[in-house]
Parts: sequence; structure tokens; C-alpha cells
Amino acid sequence: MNVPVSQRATAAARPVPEYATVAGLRDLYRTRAASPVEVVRDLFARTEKYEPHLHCFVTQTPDIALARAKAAEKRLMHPGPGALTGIPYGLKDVINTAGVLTTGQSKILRHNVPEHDAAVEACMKAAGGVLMGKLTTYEFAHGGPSWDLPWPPAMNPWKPGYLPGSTSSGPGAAVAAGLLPAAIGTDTGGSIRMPAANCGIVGLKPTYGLVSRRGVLPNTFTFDTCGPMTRTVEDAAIVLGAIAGYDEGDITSVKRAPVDYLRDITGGVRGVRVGWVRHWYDGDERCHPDVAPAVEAALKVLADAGAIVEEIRLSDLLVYQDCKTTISITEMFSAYEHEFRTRPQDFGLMFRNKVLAGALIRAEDYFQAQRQRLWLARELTRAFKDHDVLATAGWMTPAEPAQPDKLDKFLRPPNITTPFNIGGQPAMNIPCGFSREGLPLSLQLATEHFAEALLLRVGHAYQLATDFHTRHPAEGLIQ
Amino acid sequence: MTRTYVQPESGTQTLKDLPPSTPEEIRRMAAQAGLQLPDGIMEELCKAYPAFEAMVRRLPRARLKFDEPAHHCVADARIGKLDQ
Repeated sequence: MNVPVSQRATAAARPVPEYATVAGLRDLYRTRAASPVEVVRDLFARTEKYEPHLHCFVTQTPDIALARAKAAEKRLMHPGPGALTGIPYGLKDVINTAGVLTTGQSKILRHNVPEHDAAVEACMKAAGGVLMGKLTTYEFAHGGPSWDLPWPPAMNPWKPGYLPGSTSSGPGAAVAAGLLPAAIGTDTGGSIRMPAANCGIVGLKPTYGLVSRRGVLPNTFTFDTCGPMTRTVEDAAIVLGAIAGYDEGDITSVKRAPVDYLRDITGGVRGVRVGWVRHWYDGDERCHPDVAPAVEAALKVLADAGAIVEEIRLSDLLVYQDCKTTISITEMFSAYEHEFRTRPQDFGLMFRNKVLAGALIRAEDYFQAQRQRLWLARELTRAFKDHDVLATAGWMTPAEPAQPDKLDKFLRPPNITTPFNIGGQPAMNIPCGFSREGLPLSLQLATEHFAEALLLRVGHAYQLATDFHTRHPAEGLIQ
Repeated sequence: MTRTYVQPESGTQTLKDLPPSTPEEIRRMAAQAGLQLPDGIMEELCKAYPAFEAMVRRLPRARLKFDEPAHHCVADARIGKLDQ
């Protein structure tokens, strides 16, 4: 289904092709106003200009991209092309790609070329997408940023010397800088949503089990998800539609009827019950002073559009974080145990600092954390019985400066994104303003399991009423 | 008035009051785990581990016997049904 242009929260306010949305490109292709080959060439030219500053890519794939773009041009001549035909995208470099280097940004897999595509890449390819390259992450999507790996960390296009935030950092920076209209990231504790927040884009962590993780390098089996990073909610809906679905090759995959995420996206928010979790960012933990006013203004936008907003209280973030991190470091150590035993020096310092302790977690501690997790998941489920959507800050701060010499952080302050990994619910960050420094701020929305259509509807309604997502980094600042 | 969904933990006891492990104890635990680490990396572990130990010791213990662990294969409405 196509959303009428009048109901589209377009991110192509300027006629600049690099900021054309997925939906916008589909329109351009349909009307023959642009061709996939032209778009791919333009985006690679832009990447050549900015990549030396941004470090978004571990590997660029121009040969694959041009071959797929040419195939897309043929496909567009026939009825019923795939949902992403001719749409350029990138994959976080923990997602396997047959015949293309997949490193996990680690010296451990520096020369790793998988034989098979990850399921999510197979979906993107089947939908007609054009793979532009593999995108920067933190080592095995954890720890970081690190300066002792074979590739440098990505940088934030909004301000020189600032970080994009968390492990889907290359995807966040590339989409924000107009190098790609869409990317696939992974989210175990917030790694799609944090860079979305810090880069001023949309990041959607789907329900655990909705999108297959087969062929994605593991971080934490209990929490790993992969999902879209785009500039608009509508684009996230299009990409999610291409990658959601049952996969018998992923033990956690859930069999569900397919959903058209665009069908009801313009349905608005009248009568939608929103549970506002303020104490997570303005209570238990203190957010940056510009965050709370932006989130509250965003909730007023939803209330003015007919949503019913009620403040609620859930467990403190630290309770969620302790539970999540105990599970994560234990599982991650088990995933990389062989390498830790045989070549620990080949991991970066940040990864070792944050994972090696997992070797010393006792089985009973891990199980107490899993018991705590169910307790917390039930708390969220109770909240979702009374509210259609939960809303809170997308992140506690705007983007932060890179500090290559500061490598001794073992545990960060609690992530405001982690609770929905604990519960497995879908959650999405969308731009909701800017700090006084001009850095993006973000609103986080979440719904009950598999209610992505509602999540997207609420996010889209917000983007129709605001224009934060149409603003882009100043070209002169991307360096 | 803010509606709360926080329920009193079934397990209130924690291990927070235990003294932190010493570097010697951490080295012994690593040896028991079969880790043979270069000296520099063992030093890193001794420096990093206390933060994680404190985290683990904040987890509630002595839960009600029927408080089951979450299972990562359950990602559907079964979580909700457990509350009914």
C-alpha cells in the first residue's frame, strides 16, 4: 500500500536526492523521475566525500549495488516490483552477507567472508533492495566506542568530534548524513534506538521474535533483535514489512500472519492511551536539561491530537539494567568463549572489559536475573493492559563527544531503552527536538508485543504534526 | 496522581553487603573457570570485575519458589497470560 503524499511525513523537504526517503524514492521510480542506478551513483559520490570524516562503512559494495540497481531498473518495468526495489540500504557489520566481508568490527573476524546471507539480508534482497555496504558497529555490537580495532568508530554528522551513539553507530550516522535512506541495525539493549536518538532519525526495535536473527552475530541470545533505521516512521514501516516474518531457522522466530504496516498508519491517535514514564529520565536518573522539555512538548503534541496521556511509574531503570547486564555478559561470554580462551588479546579493550567478567558469573546469578526478567516483563505487561503506548525519552542525553583516552568505563548509567528489551516489546525512537547546541533529541514509544502497526501509527501521527525529522546536518558541519 | 505498576519484589534479600572480591580471589575464580589469561588481561579483569560483581549482588534473592525464569523462546502472549 502507498500512503497518499498529503499524509506523508516527508523528509525530502528540500529537493536533495540524498535526503529522499524510501517512500519518496519509490514515488520517483514509479514516475520515472529517477532511476536506481542514478541514485546509487549519487549516493556513492556523496559517501566518497563524507566517509573519510564519518567512518560509517567497514566495507562498501559498489559492484553489488550497481548490479542490483540495474536489476531493479528492469524489475520496475514490470508490475508488482518488490517493496524495496531500487532502494539503497546498508547493513550493520554483524549481519552475514554471502561473499562479502562480515567482521563484527573485530580483529577476530577480520577476514571473515560468510557463505550464506543472514535471513534479514535475504529479505532485503528479495524485496529488491540495493546493498551499498556493511556499516560500522562496536565490536560484536557491544562495548565501544573503541580506537584499538582495525576500523575507527563512526562519527556523528551533526557535530564534528561527536559520537553517533551505541553500536548501530554506522547505520545511524549514514542515514542521518544522507548517505543511505535506510539501514538495518541490531538492538540488544538499545543499539538501534540510541544512535537513532543521537543522530536525529527513526530507529525501530521490533518485537523479539518478529524479525529473524539467523545469520546475525550474537550479542545476547535472550535480547537480540534487528530492525530498521530510517529518516521517517513511514519508511520504517516499509522496511519492517520487508523483513518481518517467520523463519524456522531462528528458534525464537514467531509464526504470525503477515501485517501491512502502512495500512493504518494514517489512522491518527485519537483515543490512544499513552502511559508516560517520566521518572525514568527525570527522577531515578537525571537526563540532560534539554531532554525533559522536548519529551514533554512531544507528549503535548500527541495529547493535542487526541491521545490520552497519563503519567505512570514502573521499576527503576537500574533494576532493569542489572537484570539485563547480568544476562548479557554471561551469554556474550558463552558466545565468544572459545576466542576468549585462545586469543583474548585479539579483542579490543572495551569488549574485554565489558564481557570477560561474564566468565565469573555463577549459574545461580544468571538464573536469578532470568527470574527477575520475567518479573519485570510482567510489570510491563500490566502497564500495557491499561495503556496502548508507553512513552518516555529516547535517550538521556544528546550526542556526546568522542573521548579516545577514556576507556575505563565498565558499566554505564542505566539505558532508558533497556526495559523494552527485557520485556521483548517493540519500541521506536523518533526525533522530537534539538538541544541548545543543535543536537537531536528523541521520543521513545513502545507498545505491547506485535503491535508494531499501532506503534508506527502513533509515530507517524507525531511526524505529521512536527518537522524535526525533516532537518538535516549542515553540510559544512559533516567533517 | 501517578499510577504505579511496581509490585513489591518477591525476593527482597540481596548480596549487597558482602565484601568485594580481592584481586587474589578474582584470580582464583578465573583459574577455577579455566581461564589462562596473559598478565595484562588478568589485570584488566581484576579492575573490571568489581563493578559487575556489585551489579550481580543487587539482584533480588530468595524469590518465591514459583517465580520461574524467563525463557528466551517465549516471546508471545504467554508472558501476559502468566499474570492472569
